[in-house]
Amino acid sequence: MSERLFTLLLAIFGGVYLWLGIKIEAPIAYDPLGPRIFPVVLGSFLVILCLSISIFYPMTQFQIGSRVKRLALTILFYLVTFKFLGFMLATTISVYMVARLVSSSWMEGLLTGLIVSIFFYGIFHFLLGVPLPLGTVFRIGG
Amino acid sequence: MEIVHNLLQGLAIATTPVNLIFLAAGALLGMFFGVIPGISAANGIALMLPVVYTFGLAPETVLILFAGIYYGAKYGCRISAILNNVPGDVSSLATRLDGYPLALAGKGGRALVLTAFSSFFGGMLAILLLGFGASSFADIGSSFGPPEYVALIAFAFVLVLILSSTLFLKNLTSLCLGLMFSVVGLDWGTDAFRYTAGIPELYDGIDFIIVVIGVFALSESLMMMEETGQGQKLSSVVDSGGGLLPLFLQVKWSCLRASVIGVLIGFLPGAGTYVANLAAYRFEKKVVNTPEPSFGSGNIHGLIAPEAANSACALASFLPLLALGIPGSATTAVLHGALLQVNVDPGAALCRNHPEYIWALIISMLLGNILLLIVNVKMIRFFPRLLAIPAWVLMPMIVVVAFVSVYAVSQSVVSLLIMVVIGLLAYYLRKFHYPLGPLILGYVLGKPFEDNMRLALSISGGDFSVFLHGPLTMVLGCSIVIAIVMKVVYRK
Repeated sequence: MSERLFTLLLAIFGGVYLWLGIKIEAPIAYDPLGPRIFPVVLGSFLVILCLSISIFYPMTQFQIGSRVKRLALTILFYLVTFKFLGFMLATTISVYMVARLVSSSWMEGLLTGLIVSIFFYGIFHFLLGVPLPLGTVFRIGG
Repeated sequence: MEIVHNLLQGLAIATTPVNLIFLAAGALLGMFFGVIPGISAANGIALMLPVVYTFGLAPETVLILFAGIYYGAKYGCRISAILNNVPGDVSSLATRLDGYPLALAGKGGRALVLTAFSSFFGGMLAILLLGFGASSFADIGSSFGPPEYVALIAFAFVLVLILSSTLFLKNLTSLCLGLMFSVVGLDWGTDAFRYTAGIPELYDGIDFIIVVIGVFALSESLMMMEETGQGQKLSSVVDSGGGLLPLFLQVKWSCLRASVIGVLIGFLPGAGTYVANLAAYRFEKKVVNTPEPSFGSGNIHGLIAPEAANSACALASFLPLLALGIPGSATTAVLHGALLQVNVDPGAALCRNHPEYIWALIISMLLGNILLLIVNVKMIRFFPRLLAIPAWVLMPMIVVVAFVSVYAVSQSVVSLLIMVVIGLLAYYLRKFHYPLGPLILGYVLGKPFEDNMRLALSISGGDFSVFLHGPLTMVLGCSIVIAIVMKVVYRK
């Protein structure tokens, strides 16, 4: 990704932040600054900073490695399936995928996935009393 | 007499079986988090939050546990720096310069034991000073009103900007992003919703754990994917670390100098342990004239000084945190945020209302420091095994723990989505050399900065000169100017 593109995206984010900041409505106004000034200043400041960085600093770029891309996709897969497939199944699959990314054998990956998912489900569900999702997919039709 | 009373109360609290168990757990877990590159003290504290919530721990136990994780991690991060040339976290950046050459020369055990001594020494000096100053913590904090807090937080921001080694505008951008995150949520007093987009998960602001885990754990896991594993890793420690006390006593003055540097940097809001680590190394390099081995090839002064400074700074940074509620670094900002999450609000009120907690914490630090010294001297042969945990176990664990920690606290997939977005943003920021310390500090201190500024202006009727009145604001204002001038002069 090119730094110029990243700086541009940050500047757009600053611009949107500024625009939304201007639109902030205060039902009760009691202090001289109000809730709007701070966000407006920050949004403007980020835009100015991004412009200054793109003018004064050399712009670099880097190639996102294939392993990084695949890990990012695995994280997104985990996010999407966390509730849908449930913690146990989503974790087993995601851990297997991550483990394979860092050169595990398929058996090591599968075992790690199973052990990690059972271990964390046990810790959180039984010991800490925190319910983890069981999977909406298993309720379809039921 | 009151001090003795509080001290004894603190001793009684610190030595209850529950607190002793959590002290040992915190220090040892912290050491483990410190040893493994990628899991820092900040991650460790964030990952322990669900545990603390669920067990409903008492405030003093939470303080002892989180502090243990913090200084335990700072103690442990040298191990990977010495054995693998990869610091457990940036706090041991300078330690590897002389530690790794010693390890390559078969003196890894000696390097580990000597740095354990120096970390212990630095830590004890900071604990002693905290002990002497503890009775006046509440007085220090009480003299701060809203304008003083604004000036102090501004001073912290200036220090974190000028002490960071990366490009100034990028530091500033990172700080700005942190402040922008802090704005999200319902504005107290005016009932205005800011950047919540109708998402209930954002009404109370972006949850602390989401930001910390996104910024540290997720971005770190992506960064770890890029590492190629170059460099020689030591699979075992071949030498014994016994009989090194006389050698350590030969370098006691280096250790003392570095500890004093560490304590002074720890007292400053905005500076961090890595600043102390590097500053002590550079100072020793300037003042010590020893024959071979030179600095960078296994010099003993270069080995022990950064670690003494690192530990001293970690423990000394509890002064601004406890007395003023102002964290001194990204990690203490995480510690501060984590304490707030469990309704422990560090600052003058805590020191005034519960001085026994402060004493309990200081005594626990003393005990924790002794425990860490014993473990770090007696278990040197175990460390290479700790570092040999395969990536296919470690990497998935980081991702799963990140998800589970956020879900356990928020029970929401939206929170997970926000964490992933922040994690990806943090990854790109790191790739383009934006430091993450200012971002976290801005996020944690943004709210108190804005609130105190608005409160001060409300009291003064909108008169901005309120920030120039009063001796403390003047001193802090001058400190800001001096810090900026020194930075400019130093650059030239």
